[in-house]
Amino acid sequence: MNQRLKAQQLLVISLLAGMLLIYPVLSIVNTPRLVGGIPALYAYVFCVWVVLIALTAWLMERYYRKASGNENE
Amino acid sequence: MNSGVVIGLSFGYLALLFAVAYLTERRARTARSLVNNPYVYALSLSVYCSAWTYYGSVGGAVTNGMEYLAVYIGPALMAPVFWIVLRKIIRICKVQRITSIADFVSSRYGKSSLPGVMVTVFCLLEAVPYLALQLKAIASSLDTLTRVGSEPGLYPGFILRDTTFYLTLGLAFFVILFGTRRVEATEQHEGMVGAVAFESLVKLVAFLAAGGFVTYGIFNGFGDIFSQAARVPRLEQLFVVREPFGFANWTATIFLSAMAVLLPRQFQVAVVENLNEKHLSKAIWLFPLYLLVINLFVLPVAFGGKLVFGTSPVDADTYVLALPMHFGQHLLALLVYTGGFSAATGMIIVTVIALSTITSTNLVMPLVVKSAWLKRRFADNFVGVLIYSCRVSMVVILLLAYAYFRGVARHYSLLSTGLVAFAAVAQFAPAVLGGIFWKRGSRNGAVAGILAGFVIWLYTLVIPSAAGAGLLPARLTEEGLFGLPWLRPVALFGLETSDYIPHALFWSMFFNVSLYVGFSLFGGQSNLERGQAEIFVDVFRYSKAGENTITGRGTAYMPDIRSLLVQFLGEKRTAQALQSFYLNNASVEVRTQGRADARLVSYAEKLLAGVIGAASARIMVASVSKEEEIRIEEVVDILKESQQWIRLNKEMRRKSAELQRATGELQRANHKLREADAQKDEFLYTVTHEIRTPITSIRAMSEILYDNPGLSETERQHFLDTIIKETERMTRLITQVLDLEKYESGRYQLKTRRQAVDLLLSEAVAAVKQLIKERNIALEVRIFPGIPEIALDHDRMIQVLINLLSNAIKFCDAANGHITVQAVCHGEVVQLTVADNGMGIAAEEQTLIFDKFYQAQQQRRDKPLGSGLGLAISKKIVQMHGGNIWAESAPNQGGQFSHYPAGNTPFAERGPPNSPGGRNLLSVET
Repeated sequence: MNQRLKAQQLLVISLLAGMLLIYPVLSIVNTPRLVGGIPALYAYVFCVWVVLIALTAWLMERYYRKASGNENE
Repeated sequence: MNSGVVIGLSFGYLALLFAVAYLTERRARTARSLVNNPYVYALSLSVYCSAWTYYGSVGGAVTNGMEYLAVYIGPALMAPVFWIVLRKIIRICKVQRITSIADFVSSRYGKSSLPGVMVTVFCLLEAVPYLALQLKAIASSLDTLTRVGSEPGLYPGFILRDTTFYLTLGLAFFVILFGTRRVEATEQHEGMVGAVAFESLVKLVAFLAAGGFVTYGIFNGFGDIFSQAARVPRLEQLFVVREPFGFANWTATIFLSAMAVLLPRQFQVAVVENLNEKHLSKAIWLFPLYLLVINLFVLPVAFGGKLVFGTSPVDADTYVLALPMHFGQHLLALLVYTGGFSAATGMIIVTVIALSTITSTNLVMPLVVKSAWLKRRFADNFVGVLIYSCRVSMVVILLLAYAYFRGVARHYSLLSTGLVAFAAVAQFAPAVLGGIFWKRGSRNGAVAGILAGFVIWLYTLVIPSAAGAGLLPARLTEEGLFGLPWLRPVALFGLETSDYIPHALFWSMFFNVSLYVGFSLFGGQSNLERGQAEIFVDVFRYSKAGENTITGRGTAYMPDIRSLLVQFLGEKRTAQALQSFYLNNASVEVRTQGRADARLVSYAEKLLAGVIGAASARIMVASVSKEEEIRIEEVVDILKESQQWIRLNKEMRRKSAELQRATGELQRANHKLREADAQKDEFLYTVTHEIRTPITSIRAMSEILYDNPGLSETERQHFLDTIIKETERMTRLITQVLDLEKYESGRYQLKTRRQAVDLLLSEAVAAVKQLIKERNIALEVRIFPGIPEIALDHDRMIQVLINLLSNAIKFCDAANGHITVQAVCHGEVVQLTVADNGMGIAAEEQTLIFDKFYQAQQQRRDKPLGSGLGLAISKKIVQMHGGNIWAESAPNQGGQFSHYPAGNTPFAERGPPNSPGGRNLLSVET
């Protein structure tokens, strides 16, 4: 398994989410408007957060399956 | 609510924790561990969510809207990077037996005690208020639950009547029981981890229950709460971050909380208590998921509370509890209280255990081992010192926290104390991160950086908040130190920002990083530091190589090392440890006397480091060994060895193989040259010898003729005949030598023209016809049909054929001679064969006969029958035609010489045809 690639992918996920969650991107959604009954800013932050978790989980589980698959072989 | 019920619940819950911890520990001993899985690991990481989170988030949301969320966004963003950073730290700590953040810094920077002491002091300063905060949360939640109208509830009165005090003592008992069970701090406290994971579940369930009740019980879902809040202007403004300064707070908080893994308690659960690195792969998404879920209802509860309580003086920090109480949901309120209690106790338990380890190994132990007096005083009982200093520090820390809570904490809100603590541990970040990724990072840099960060932190965060709470004169913050406005703690060097946190973070990090990097770049490192830097940064390379760390190369003796280990580990554990060492290091000789192996000394030092910290272990080991300063060559040797050995070895093997090949080639070339030289000598010798024979006889004949004028005419004729014959022989020889030389040097150019093979053969046969007749030899010429004309040098090829024919005549059976001359065509290749029925040529001679002056054995035994150059010349001529010549026969079966004349067709070598009828053959092909 390519540890180096995995580390780089995780780092990119983290950096990308980090950039999406700070100024100036955040100022785009910084309005009191409600989106689906929820303030736009809150909705946006939680969405990015969910995607961050999902991406990490998907990546790690994929590697995990691959690794355990290799063990079985 | 009845305070008896609440107090009973609190102590009942503590008892439950004891039970969980006890059960977990028992299961751990039976190897069916409850905690050895990624889920429990992720839950134990969630000790991050302390009471500050549980109650303070809502308070924070009410004051600053979304800003509180940054505390969770930070770790969530950091979580994927845990795979890179945390995994490396875990590996380093496992390899180096590091038990705390202070020990980590101390070990990385040359096992020096100063950085460890600094980190310890800093951790204590940061953690005591933070612990007090948890106690405050417990106390105020007790108060909220038991308050009746405006009557104060169980809020602290006299100490001995304060429930929180007894709860603190209960916690002290817990941590002593489950936190110092074993001597070796590296061994995990599985009972504690089990309890903490359990607490994480409790607080999650409780908060979700409260949030669900507020959102769906009191209100009609998220949309309802937010749309109601949107109609209140003061609440609507919380939907956004205040620009422009809000974003500075937001970003600074994200950064601070991302570094929170360096908090003593986070380091404890994430690194020290980690049972398997692989647990990280699930934890890095389970932990952020936990944070997300526990935060889902924070905003609804905050807005819901504000909508319900309006301007009534209910502290927003207690909304989670106050809302169920307000609506008469007492059971739910008790559950929520339990959740908050678990959040607080979880944090307290882990923090106190971590801090006591740090204090005993990085503050007390260096003091004991460095002071000659203390060392002598406690020489027989280091273990006792260790355990008791650990227990005493647990109690002292808890009591200090309690005192702080009673004296100071009521002046602060929950959120600010937490962030101040975060800002403190963030000061370790440059030294720790630099330590694991940058080999140049030096001890002086780390010390200077941490110290500068610490001073700025104290000045820009602690002083303003103390002044704000009325503990220090407000003049200090308004006018600056010594009345100098540019030294104002909240606007250092004139930098005005929205809030303390970004301001303090900027300046402390600025000086911290600058000094760390500056000292590291412009200062040096000791050899030990360099060695540790190498091991830390390249831990994944070294951890596989086993026990190779830098130890003093000095001489230590087995009995000393052994008694040192016994002092700290006891007889039994020492025996076990030594046994496992010898098992894993088969190459080390087992001995109880004499000099200890360097690897064993290093192993012993690491074992000790697990007990008393890296710096003290180093001092202890040094005290029983005659230390020699490690020379840089040795550091390089030991470290580079494992790292570069394989690569170097490969390279050297490749090079030596190359060298061997080159040597082989040279040897072969040399051999050839020698052979050629010997051949040349032999050739010269043979030629002169061959020439001398005729000259001798010519001279003898001439002298006879000269001395005897009266010889008869017949006799004279005979002598003259001989002289002429010998002269001819000599001329022939010299011509042949010259010919050969001409062909070999390549000066001779073939004069080829196309010619029919049958004409060539008959011409050659005609030249020797007379000889054949004289000897009564039967000659058979067989020319197969369809042989094409081939291009050849006519004279030379005739020469070859005549040579082969005269050999055949010379060697064929004397009485019943028979010679066959044959021409066949195999595809485009023409093969000519001359075969005789003589005695044949031995297999080993069949190639040798084509060498110059080689005479077959038979000939050498008898009188030589030729010059020995004929076949050599023939071979040369055939080769110049692009053909091949060879002999085949078995002795007594005749010989056959073949050669291919390649002519204008591409040359292809072919095996010779079967010898006809087993008779002697000479086969030639041009």
